[in-house]
Amino acid sequence: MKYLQVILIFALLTAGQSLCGAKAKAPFDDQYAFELLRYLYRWHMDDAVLSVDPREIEKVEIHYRTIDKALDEGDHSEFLEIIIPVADMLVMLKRADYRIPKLDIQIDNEYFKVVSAHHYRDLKWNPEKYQRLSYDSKRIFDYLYKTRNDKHFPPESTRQRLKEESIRALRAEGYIENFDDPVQQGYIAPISIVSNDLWFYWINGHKLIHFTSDLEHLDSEFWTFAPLGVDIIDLNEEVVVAPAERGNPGAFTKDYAGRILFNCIVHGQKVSDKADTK
Amino acid sequence: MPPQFIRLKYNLFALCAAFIAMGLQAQNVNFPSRTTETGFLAALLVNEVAFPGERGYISKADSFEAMNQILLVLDARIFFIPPQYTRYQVAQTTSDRLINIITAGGYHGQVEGFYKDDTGNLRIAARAEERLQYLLRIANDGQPGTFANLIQHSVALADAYIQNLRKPENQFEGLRQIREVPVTGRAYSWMTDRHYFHPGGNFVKIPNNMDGALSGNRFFSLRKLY
Repeated sequence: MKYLQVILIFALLTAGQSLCGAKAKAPFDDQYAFELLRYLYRWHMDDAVLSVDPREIEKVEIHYRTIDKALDEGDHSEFLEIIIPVADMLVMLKRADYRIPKLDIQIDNEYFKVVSAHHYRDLKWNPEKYQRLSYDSKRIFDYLYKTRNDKHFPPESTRQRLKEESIRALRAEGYIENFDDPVQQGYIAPISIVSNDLWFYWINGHKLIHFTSDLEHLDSEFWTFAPLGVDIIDLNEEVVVAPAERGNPGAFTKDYAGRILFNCIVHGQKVSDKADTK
Repeated sequence: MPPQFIRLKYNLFALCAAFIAMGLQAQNVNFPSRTTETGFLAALLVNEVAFPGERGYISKADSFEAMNQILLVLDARIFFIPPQYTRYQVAQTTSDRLINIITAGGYHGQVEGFYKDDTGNLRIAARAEERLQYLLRIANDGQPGTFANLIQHSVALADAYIQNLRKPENQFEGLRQIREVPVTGRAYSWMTDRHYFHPGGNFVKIPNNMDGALSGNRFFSLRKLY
């Protein structure tokens, strides 16, 4: 009887871990894979990157492999390289698991996070070196279409901190000319479990503000890195058709700025506040 | 209140805070003045790589290597312009001086936020200076650790280059082909590793399997034209 109880408890624990996305099962249960595809669909894919007509393929495949990197002592982070052939896309994922003694911070991501996602017109790779997951194409594209307007937003505490840190970063950069407007307005883009990015569009100042770090943004220590991992994009100054056009390699393309704005305005959450920027 | 006054007030505040911070630091790292070539270059190296906790951070060794290869991009733009290219095409300047290579194009130029003001003085964007101060505070708190090691590396690297033109090993020097594209060897550009950043033109992205991504940066070589 005791033996049966032990088995039952073990089975329950295993099921619980799976539901919570714990490390034993992640990353590629279907739930995570679909969320990853949805994130890429939302932020990185467009008609131009699809290598085939989605109606002409039976399967959407995800190929993945572990990447071994030489890490600092005590760092147990994991890295995955993902190939998505339907979009000729190579994605790097990281599940951070390390300690920063100087800041007394333990980073322990529950899920793998997108570090980079690149589309290559001439992507070449060896399928033998990867594990393969295969999904019915119609099921995937139906899912992506049906959930295209699904939204998840950070909690109030994160939104409040986002506001404070945005004001601090904008002030530090000297962007103060729109702070006297009686009403300040903006949009927060939806968040995802596969990314630590927070995007905010400040309407009054025509700026995109982006915070990121190895920490998940629900972690209060995420903001420890606010002075380090913030980007401000001046939509009046830094958006071009092609970066080479102005000899400014750091410029944003109109295509990508448009995509961020779409995610902020169409999918995002509008926030407004009386001017409170002291 | 006129905007100019507010800006002045915040600049004075930042200056005072910086002096106070400098006085309180235990000095694990002695960072040179950003108005010197060594300090300006070291600040750039610190600004461009990921520190622990930041997106793109892999390891201390990876961030060391990123600094090395960034310095070598600048060096390649000075000493190794490939045949059939002009320096202007590669670096947006005709000058072969390091400082001019860095500041080419101004504030939003070749190195975002590292520029010369109207009177020719070296300037660093407030965001980059804030980041540097923040990192120095961590580095100088208690015993030296990873943060101090990374900043020390930037200073040593910059100093060795400025004083003696001493260079680290170039891991991209021998590149001859990226996928089907013949390339010149060496890296001639680096950018934050996001798909929407690409220097365009004849720059060729160095892929992961050629170690083209270091500490949150992507490196680019040049298409061979001869």
